[in-house]
Amino acid sequence: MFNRVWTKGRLYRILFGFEEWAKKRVFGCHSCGQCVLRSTSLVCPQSCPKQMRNGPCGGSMFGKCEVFPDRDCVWTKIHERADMAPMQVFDMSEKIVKIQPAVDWSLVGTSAVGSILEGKTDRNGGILSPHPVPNPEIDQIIASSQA
Amino acid sequence: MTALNDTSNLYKKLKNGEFVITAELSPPKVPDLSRLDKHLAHYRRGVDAINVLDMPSATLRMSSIGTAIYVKQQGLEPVMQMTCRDRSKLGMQADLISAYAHGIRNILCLTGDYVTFGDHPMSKPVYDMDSTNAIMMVNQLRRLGKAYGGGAIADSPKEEPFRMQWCIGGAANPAGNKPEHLARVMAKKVAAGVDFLQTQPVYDLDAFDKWWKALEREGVTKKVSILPGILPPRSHKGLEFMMQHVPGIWVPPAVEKRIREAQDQKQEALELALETMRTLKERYPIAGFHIYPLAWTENVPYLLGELGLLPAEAPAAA
Repeated sequence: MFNRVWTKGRLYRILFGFEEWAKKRVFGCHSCGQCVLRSTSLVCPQSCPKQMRNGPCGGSMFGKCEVFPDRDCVWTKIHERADMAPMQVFDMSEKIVKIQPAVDWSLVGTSAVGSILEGKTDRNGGILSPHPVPNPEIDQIIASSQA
Repeated sequence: MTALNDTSNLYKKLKNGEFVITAELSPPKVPDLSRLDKHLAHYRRGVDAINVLDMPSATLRMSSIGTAIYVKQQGLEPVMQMTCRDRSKLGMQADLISAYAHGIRNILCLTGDYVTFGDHPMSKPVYDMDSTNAIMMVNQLRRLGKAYGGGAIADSPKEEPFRMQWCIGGAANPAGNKPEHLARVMAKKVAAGVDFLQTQPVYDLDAFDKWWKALEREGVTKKVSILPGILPPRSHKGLEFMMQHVPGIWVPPAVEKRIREAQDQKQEALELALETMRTLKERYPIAGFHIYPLAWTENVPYLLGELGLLPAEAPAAA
């Protein structure tokens, strides 16, 4: 019953509509459905033209975007803010060195809050299901299993 | 032909701590592979692996996989560049399996220049993932024999997953942004499983020094082989074009002035490249050099000869 109301019903549409509206205005949300704002200093990485989840790219020069030189590089902003004291509420200095997984396109265009409630992602945008991503610690896991 | 479970010579050389030279080869636009022969002839001595570009500056060329197969057939070792610009996760992995089947073992994972730099600005940029995730994807194929989607690389459920012995490369830009930020990205690439890093052309030694120290603080330099990039421009005009139209290249004003005011701009650029190479080799424990000769591949044997890195005879074809 909950699932039917949630996935197809009005409740979902109202909540998602509000989430999209609010996040669009505050953060320039692109509705990727796996919100990583808490891991990227509250700057949406999807606003990067290359949609880098681990940036900056090699073309970003002196804090400016490679594609639109009049715009600021999104990832320079993320790195700079990560060093600021207020961002430590989100443990940004730890999260900034963690690999963010690539976008799961089966979640794009859905509610990020919904993804968390349904257990598809964790609160930091890490993808749990239905498509768990490669583990960045592959090498360490193998090294420890051989030791 | 490389054995199915064998890794590349480049990988072995890097792990043995040998000094390696890689150079770039730009695929032709016209479907005529014989046009590559004169460039490959310059690479037969001294060059350990040849980077085959995947549509640089998003300009239409022959694909990197097709050219890399030809390089391999000619008895040389290719490094296949793979950008995330044109293919999805599915397409990239299909190309990886095809390339492996043809004996290619080195891969360089790049995010790729944006489409608006090239001749197809109306094309759809894919960017299904970034370079760090691409490295992670190849590393998973190598260590676990598992595709990105989680399935095993096997034709039947009973078969043991096939582990492709890739040698994985990544790109780095030592200038441009704050060294601390760049070092964090490099640390991520190392965690993802990169074996070697090739940098953008180095002109600014001060910026390189700051970048190297930041990498040392992150502990990157010990875990990965670093190959600084060297690009001797043909003329001042060429240098200027690059500064304006190629993303990620930083040329300090002093260097630009030196090339501009030189009598023989081409020779001056080569002298500058030699000076940079000598300084870098002296100061830092680098694993080798990555040379960008553009179309003038005859510069590669010249530079290597001047540095005393050119072996007397070409090694026997592998």
